[in-house]
Amino acid sequence: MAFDTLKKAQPENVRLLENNRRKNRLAHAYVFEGMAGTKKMDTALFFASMLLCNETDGPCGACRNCRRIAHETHPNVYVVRPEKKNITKTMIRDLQTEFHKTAVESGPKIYLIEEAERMNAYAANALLKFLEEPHNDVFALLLTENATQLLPTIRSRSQTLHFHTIPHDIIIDELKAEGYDDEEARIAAALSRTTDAAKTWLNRDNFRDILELVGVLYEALADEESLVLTFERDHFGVLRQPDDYLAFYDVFSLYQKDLVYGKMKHYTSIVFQSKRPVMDRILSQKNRAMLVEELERMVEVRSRIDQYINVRLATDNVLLLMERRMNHEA
Amino acid sequence: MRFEMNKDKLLYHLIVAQKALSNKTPNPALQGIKLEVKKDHLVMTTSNSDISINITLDDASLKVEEEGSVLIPGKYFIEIVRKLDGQTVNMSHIDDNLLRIEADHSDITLNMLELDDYPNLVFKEKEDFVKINVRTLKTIIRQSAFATSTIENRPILTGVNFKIDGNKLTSVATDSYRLAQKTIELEEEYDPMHVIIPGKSLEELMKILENNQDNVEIHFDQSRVLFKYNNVLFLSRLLEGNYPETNKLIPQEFPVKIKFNKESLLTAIERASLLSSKDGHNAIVKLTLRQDDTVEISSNSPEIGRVLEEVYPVDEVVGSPIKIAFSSKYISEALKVFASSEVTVSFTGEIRPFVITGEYDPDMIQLILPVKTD
Repeated sequence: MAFDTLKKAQPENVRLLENNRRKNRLAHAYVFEGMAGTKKMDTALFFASMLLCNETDGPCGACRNCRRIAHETHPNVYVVRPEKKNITKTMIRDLQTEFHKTAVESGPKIYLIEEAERMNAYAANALLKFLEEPHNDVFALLLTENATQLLPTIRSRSQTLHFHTIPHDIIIDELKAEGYDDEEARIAAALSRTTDAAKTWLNRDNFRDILELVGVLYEALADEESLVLTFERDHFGVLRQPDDYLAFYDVFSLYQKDLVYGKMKHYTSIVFQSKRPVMDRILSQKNRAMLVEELERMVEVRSRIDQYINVRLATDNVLLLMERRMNHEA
Repeated sequence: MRFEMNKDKLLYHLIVAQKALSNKTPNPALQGIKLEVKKDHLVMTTSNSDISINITLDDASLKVEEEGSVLIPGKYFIEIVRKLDGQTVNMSHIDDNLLRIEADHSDITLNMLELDDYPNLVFKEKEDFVKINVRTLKTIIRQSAFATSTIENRPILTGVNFKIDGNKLTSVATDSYRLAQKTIELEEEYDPMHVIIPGKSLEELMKILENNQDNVEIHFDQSRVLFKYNNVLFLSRLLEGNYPETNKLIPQEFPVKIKFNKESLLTAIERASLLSSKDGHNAIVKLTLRQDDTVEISSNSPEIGRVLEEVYPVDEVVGSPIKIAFSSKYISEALKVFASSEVTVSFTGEIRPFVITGEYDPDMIQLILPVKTD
């Protein structure tokens, strides 16, 4: 069944729209508010499919109308996107011109405005005037990350739906459905809030190298070898730019967080499940306060990478702190 | 799909279909020509979503070997067919959504567009339709559509209002500063109808209609209008909303009436508009009816110079002296649609709209709002 992932990711919003429709109480305008990657656009397309699908029992995602909505080629669905980060009055005027004409195909007409907060004052006022005279069978969907940046008069004429961030398991399921490895999917999901961001992680050319490097470091720690030397030997070719260091620290602190979870016996929260044996060896030698302090140091270094610090030196410091703390009674 | 046909016949119809081809559109499918090959005819469809054209082609030269449908990138296809040598062109749909075009020594393959993305256009003819002579239809469009608004602040005014009442068809267009209205009598009585057709659609329709004695069928619907002209179906969307009530705007009593030779009035106004600080189109021109019944057309722009034209009315003037100013563009556009060589300009007052009528243009009214000057 189509839209299954969406129904799991945004169950409340999907149900609300479905109920509104069933009770014939659809608003003329909706504001979809939520962070990037919360499937606002997918929900908007779901809404359009719900109104235009040929099948009787809900949008099928497979009929010609649904397919064209997904391709954004259905003539009754009009999408406005910012150009050069701006939605101008001309773009809103074009939209109005379009909607003053009868539909190309039978059925309701829907317009979507992505990043609606990027409308400038002229555009917003033009849209407001258009919203003030509701047309039959015309629906507006305004997508935004921050509804407070829209005109209050626009908000008061629309129903606002809030989009929560997508639960990690759904991102993981989506990634796995696309054929990504289970543990890598878990790691990428833990590093990101959205499926797209997680995919960016997975498609990074040195993502696996960074995982490997972090793995080797903790193994060295468990074996009580020198972390600084291990890092010195292995980081060449993997960490080349400041950006690589940011990624490295994200993964590094994620692993460290796993150790803290391990200490607290929250075993299900652990992301690097395959590293549990290594973790156990480290956990037997460190107490929780140490792990947390090390984690804090990592986070601090990460936040300073952009401030032109000597990253190598700062990293050595963190690594030294970690290796000196071994062999203490846990 | 595989067929062959005479190249020139194909090109001729492609050029007609091209009128509705879209060059800037968010939907790339609309850049295509939909070609359906049936057992004994071809159907070509183009659309820019505002207007759509559907042409049925059953030429004697057509030989269909295999039926099928494709969506061909319009711009390239037309240029290719235009430049081909030889009498016949052979087309076939081959693997991977490719179209193979063979003619004379040429062998061209063209990537097709996704047919699935093409809109579902309904060229449905209705049982009741209005039948009208091509020339008459062209006349009413020419005499009204030019007065539509081009700025889209009030989208409804970019359209022409077509009304049918009994056996009368009236078309009205206004941009709120001027109004053009023409009424014709139809051969039969019809049910009342009231639609607003975008002015741009009618402009395109004009390009397709030829000057002959054929008839056009107009199929009105709540959301579209379909013009059937021989083998061409021309579909236009309509504008939604209420068209302003224009009847009350047209004055009924005219204390001042002046009859002019159309050409001499037009040239006088055009000369007077030459010396205008604004661009020639928006020049403001003054008309003064003097005591001695001659008419003065004048314009004055202090930084350039002044023009004074004398125009002699062709008939006795009714009414007392009057002084009125108006846009030269509006009046010259209005005068140009008259078939009559003599026109009557009727005034109600210096700041009230005036009306132009002509003896040989029955049931046509051109109304213009004057501008205030000090």
